[in-house]
Amino acid sequence: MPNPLNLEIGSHVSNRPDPAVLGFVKLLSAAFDKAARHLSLLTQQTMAVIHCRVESMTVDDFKFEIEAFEDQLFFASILKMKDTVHTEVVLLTAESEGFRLFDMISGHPAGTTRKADPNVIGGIGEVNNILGTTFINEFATRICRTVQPKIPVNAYDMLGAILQGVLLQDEYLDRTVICADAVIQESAVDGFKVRLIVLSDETQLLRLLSIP
Amino acid sequence: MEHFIQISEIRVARSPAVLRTVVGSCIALCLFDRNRGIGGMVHILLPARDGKEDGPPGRYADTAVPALFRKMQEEGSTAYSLDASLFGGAVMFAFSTNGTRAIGLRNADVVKGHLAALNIPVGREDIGGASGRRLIFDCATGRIDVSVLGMPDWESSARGKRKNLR
Repeated sequence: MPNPLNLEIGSHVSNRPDPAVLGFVKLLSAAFDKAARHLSLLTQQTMAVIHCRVESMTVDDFKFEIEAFEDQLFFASILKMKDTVHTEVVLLTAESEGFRLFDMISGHPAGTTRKADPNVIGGIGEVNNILGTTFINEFATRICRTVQPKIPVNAYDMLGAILQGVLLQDEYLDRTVICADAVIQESAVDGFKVRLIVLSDETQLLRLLSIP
Repeated sequence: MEHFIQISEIRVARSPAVLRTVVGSCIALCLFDRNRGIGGMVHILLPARDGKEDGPPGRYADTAVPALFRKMQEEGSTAYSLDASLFGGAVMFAFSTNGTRAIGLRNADVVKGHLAALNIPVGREDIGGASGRRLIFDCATGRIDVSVLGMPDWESSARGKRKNLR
């Protein structure tokens, strides 16, 4: 299976030789790679995907692996598409890194932004408009349809609370989702990073991708 | 001794223990035995097990309440000595839920139903809203500090100051 990003594939996905699954993994690789390049252009820094994992799971067995960070403050932006398949693209960045990201996209000197006001929250949301749309465009190209995302929702809160809110939406409660989780990081030694998570209803997704 | 309660986790601790957690849409149920200085907390994700065999009891509201109560009973507690507190159930994002009651609020409903069946009174509840809550539960005194981002005590809570706990 082509794997240019060294995408870590969980066993529930890798054990299925379904062409639609392989196609989705390929789609994800392309989307995350493009997202990193877009973020590089936005920030004028060299950004790359340093870690990426995809797995199939239900809400019951979802693990965020964030134990050390649950009560730390994060910026989040959720881009949702619903008309074709229930999918969310979630951008997460830690508070200090969110301030840094906002400085970069605003052209401010580093260290200027220190407070999470609506401008900052909205600005980071705009970044996800761009990054999340990268995935949606790849998906739309693959299924040869126009896909419309909904207006993104932004948040600034404790990471554990944010992820609970993302996960516990009614669309996902009785479904299996494919979760793709990528960390995009600046190439410098203490490079700042963002996390991009794609959650997609597995049944709907694979049915669409199986259509030749 | 301080312990952070993860999603689906149930823990009972004796004084001088502090239990902490973060809830957004999830529900945290705290039980305090006022006679014995014992506290218990469970972090609930979903309303009901619905026949699923797998998964820890703390994950589902319908199994979490009896499971936490049993653990308290193992330490000598009875329903008559227990006070319950509920927190969480925030609707974090303004996506449409098609008119269905938000999952966190449903969790709270199920928890309250089971507590009523056990004759355990709910002394305090802080449910709903749109923000996450950080909880610090002192098992010695039963005091529960709840902090929400942007509210006055947020900064002192974040720095770990617990001067008000005793």
